[in-house]
Amino acid sequence: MLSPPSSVAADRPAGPAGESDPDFVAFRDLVIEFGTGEWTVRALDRISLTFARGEFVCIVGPSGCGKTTMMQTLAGFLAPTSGRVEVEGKPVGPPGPDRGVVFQQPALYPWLTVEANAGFGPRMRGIGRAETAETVAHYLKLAGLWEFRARYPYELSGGMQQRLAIVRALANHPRLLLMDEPFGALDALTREKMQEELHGVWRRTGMTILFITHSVEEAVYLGTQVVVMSPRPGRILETIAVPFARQAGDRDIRAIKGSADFVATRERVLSLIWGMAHD
Amino acid sequence: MATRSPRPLVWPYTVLSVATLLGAWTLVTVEGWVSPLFMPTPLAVWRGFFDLADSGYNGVPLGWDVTISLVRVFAGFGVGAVCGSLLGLAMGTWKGLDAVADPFIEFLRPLPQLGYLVLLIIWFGIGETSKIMLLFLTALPVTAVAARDGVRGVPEQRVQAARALGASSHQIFWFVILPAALPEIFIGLRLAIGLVYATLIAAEILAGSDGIGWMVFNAGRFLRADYVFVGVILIGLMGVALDRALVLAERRIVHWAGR
Ligand SMILES: Nc1ncnc2c1ncn2[C@@H]1O[C@H](COP(=O)(O)OP(=O)(O)OP(=O)(O)O)[C@@H](O)[C@H]1O
Ligand SMILES: [Mg+2]
Repeated sequence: MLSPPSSVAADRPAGPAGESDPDFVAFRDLVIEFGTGEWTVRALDRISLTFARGEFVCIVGPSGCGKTTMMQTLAGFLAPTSGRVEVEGKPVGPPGPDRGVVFQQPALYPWLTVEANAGFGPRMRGIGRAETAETVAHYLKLAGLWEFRARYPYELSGGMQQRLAIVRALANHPRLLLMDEPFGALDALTREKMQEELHGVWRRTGMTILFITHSVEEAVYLGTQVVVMSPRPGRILETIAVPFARQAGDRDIRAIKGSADFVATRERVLSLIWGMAHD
Repeated sequence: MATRSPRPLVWPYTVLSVATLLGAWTLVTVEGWVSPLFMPTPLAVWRGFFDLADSGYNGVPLGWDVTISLVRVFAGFGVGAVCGSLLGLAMGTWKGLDAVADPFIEFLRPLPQLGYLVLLIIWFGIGETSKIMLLFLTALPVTAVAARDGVRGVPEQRVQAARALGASSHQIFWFVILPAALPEIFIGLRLAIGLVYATLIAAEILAGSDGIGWMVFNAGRFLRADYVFVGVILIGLMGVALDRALVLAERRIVHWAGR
């Protein structure tokens, strides 16, 4: 469904060398502290995590364990107190279009039409009108927003707004997509539909995605890896490889979530999180 | 575009209330319950309006009084609001400038305009300069504070999203911060036009030789209640028109405000 248009696939920074790079993204001994002196809060304590291109990494953990902080560091909004965050072996710089970001609240621009919102990134980067229009049309059609292109964001439902925020990030052809609880504000049904759509995007583009969620079920359904974090100070408790996202065939989302394997994995992750709560 | 929900019919009530007032006015004046010295009949006001429109007041045509008042409003409000909004945008963007300008703005804002009119007259004389300066100083702080608060109120995530989409600082200002602050800027403009207009009328009464405010005051001194009524009604209608014009512009330009 959501594959890039042919003219777009060419400038995608994928390569034979990159495909097998296990350290495509690397957090190395990352420490993030907020405040100074007595009021220093250590949000992340020596986080180390690497993953390859094409992975769908889901981060779960109790509130305040540093998930957002981790993502913001990779996005470039925060600088490490110590340690490093690298993409393709190079330390990440300031925020840029190579790392698309989707927030819990869509953060769209209500003064721009749906189409102009989707094309905001290419327009800022000085991409030509024709090329921008082509990319935007492609993603809007695939996200089911094409009929709404002349509308304004406040005329869309919550789910449509979040789809538009994802389209906006994808229109830049980022090599990494960072999502911070993107479906947290949606109702259960819309949320499952969005999960299916995002899964489709990932399957067809091979995009590398870092995805933060409070829903263990969502993480186990979407992720190739589920990273479980513990709070105060934020640490990685365990990284679990999950098979469901890569399973062949267009299986029904309810069938997958109802399967014994899925339930067992979900319970395992949940018991890890519960284990922390009882300490 | 957005579907409009069926609104209850309200205009008959508006017509009814205005008609009631006119009726009461006619009754008390025609029956002579109130002396015409205090309150002329509606018909006398109507005649007074045509008197003034035909031959002017004290040799000054009514059209001139209205025009000169509007010119003062537009000059003072226009320059003051543009400067104030730009200053506010800059103050919201640069903390240093805010620290420098804030004490003056905060001092000027609650200061009654007529309190320093005398100073302006001493400095600039009784002519147009002091009046337009007064209106400029009236519009400036209100619009500056609104624009600054507008910039400060831009949600952090909107800026973060723009940065992650590849926008430069300049682009973020023009394409994110400025539009995001526009609804607040418009609130400032509406506050300012009301203040400027009220200040102008008072200034014309205190230190004028023409203008609609001066005309009303002067007619009052000669106990021409009919002319005073014409003037007051005109002042009211012009004020409503100025505000409506801004509301219309606001609805067109910041259609997303509050959504
Ligand atoms: N700007 C900041 N200043 C001070 N402390 C902060 C700041 N941002 C985050 N923290 C602290 O860092 C810790 C991690 O916060 P973070 O927002 O990353 O958690 P989270 O895992 O995303 O939580 P949630 O699931 O509730 O979104 C918290 O203890 C929080 O109080
Ligand atoms: Mg968070």
